[in-house]
Amino acid sequence: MKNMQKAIDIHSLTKTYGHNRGIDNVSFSVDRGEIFGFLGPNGAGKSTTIRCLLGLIRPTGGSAEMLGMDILTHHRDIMKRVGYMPSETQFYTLMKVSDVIKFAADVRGLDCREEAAKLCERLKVDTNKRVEELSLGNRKKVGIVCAMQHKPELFLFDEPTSGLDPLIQAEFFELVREYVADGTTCFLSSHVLSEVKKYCGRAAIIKEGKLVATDTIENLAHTNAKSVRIVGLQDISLDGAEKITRHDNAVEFIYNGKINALLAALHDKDITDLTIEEPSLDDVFMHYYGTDE
Amino acid sequence: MTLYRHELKMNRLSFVVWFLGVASMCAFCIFLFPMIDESMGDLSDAFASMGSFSAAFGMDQLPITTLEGFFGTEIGTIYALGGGMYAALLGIGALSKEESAHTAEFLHTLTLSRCGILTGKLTAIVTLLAAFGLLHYGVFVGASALIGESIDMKSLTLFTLAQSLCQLELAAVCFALSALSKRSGLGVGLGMALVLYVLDLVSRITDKAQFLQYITPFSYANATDIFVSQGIEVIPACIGGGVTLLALAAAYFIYTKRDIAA
Repeated sequence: MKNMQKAIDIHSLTKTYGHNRGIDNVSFSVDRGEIFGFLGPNGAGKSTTIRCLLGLIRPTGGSAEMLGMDILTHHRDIMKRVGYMPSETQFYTLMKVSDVIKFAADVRGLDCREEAAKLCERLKVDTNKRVEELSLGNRKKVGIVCAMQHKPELFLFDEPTSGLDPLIQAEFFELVREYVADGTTCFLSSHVLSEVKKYCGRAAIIKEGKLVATDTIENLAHTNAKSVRIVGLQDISLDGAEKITRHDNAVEFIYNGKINALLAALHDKDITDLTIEEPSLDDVFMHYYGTDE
Repeated sequence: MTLYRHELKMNRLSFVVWFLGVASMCAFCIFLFPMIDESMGDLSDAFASMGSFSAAFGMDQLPITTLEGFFGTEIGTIYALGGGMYAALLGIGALSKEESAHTAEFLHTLTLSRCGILTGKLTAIVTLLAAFGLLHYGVFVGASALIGESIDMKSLTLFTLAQSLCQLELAAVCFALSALSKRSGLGVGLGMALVLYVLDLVSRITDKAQFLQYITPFSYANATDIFVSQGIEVIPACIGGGVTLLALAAAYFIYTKRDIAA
């Protein structure tokens, strides 16, 4: 059943490389018009998921739709309406930047000169340079122009800000916000938590090929886990305590157990202060990412 | 059409270099012919009776002191090797270069289907090989006219056509290998062209190796054979055509199904 309200709809998507893990049973959906974060450390399966969606690799199981169309049977139709920027953008080295941008528009059969000129001006892209003269950051800027110039309905950005200076990062997100305000959906894969927190409404977290959480940024930060800081102790041994950070006269950790058990463990300890609070998204992120201790 | 034009543009420098390289060597040899003709008059018989060596290069079939004979042994060899290596390089790099240069993600995430990419690249290769053959044909005719020699036009036309078919076969086989590989494979392409050329030489030296003429495309495009018979060996040429079609079908089958590397 096609879901026209979803920009991306993934059902049990699986990709294995022989005996090696790619992604395993990944399911989530992205609503039209939202900025959706896709979080995970390097090698977690973010790029594999995106490359399956784009038809670069064939999933070994499951299915997915983009803009209401099956990714396997409607690749061209989907790509007409999608703008994608890979994490490591590379173009034909001997071409001039202006030729690369024009080539991308020509293949789409569109005249994007006006939009491309606007994007190049705002991102400060030197269109007269050859690709081989560009730094990673400048190649990324060309990638942004190629992904945006045809005003797609859906952006797929794979770690878009690595290599960009802070000013261009801000300009990039400003552009994303403007396109999203006009109805575009943005799928933002990243391992930079701060940008997901700042710009995304919802996010999914992937770890070792498996989806571990999908929710609003607000709800992701409201898990059962608590951020605990105890002053007066240098260490603690307690079931459910993870990510323990030891200081001279304090210990901090994420606590995933019952509060009663925590208080029982502390009642005979000589502590001077105790803080129990909702973990920050950073803590949640680390909680999901971390190797089990 | 955009990808076709793009491919022609991306290949224009290597085309010019290979054309100038091969054509200048061929033209140089044609310009040398009058001097060789004068100085080698009596040596023609000696060249024709050097056993396997003469057989390998066709000197036992045509006297080297005629332009046709000289063309068959010298210029035909240069053009066959040069054209064969160029065709192999064109084919072997066509698809794999996108992955080895990490441009595949960019190309495949525009609005091109896998078949569209294959067709765009293949038609560009066919165009480049056709231009390569036509321009060399012009060089052969022009250089022969400049030295005041006439050459059998029917044989020359058949030779250039047969060479173009041979180049197309090499390019097609390499194109199929390119569809399989994520690496550039230039060494494989060049090596294959050279090995197949050597197989043609071997097939001419001993009867036991005659079956090799059905394997190597250089057999039906051999200059001496064509100038002697004024025709192309039909069976090896048909096998070559079949191999070309099979290789192209394999390229489409493989490339439309396999994963594309980042």
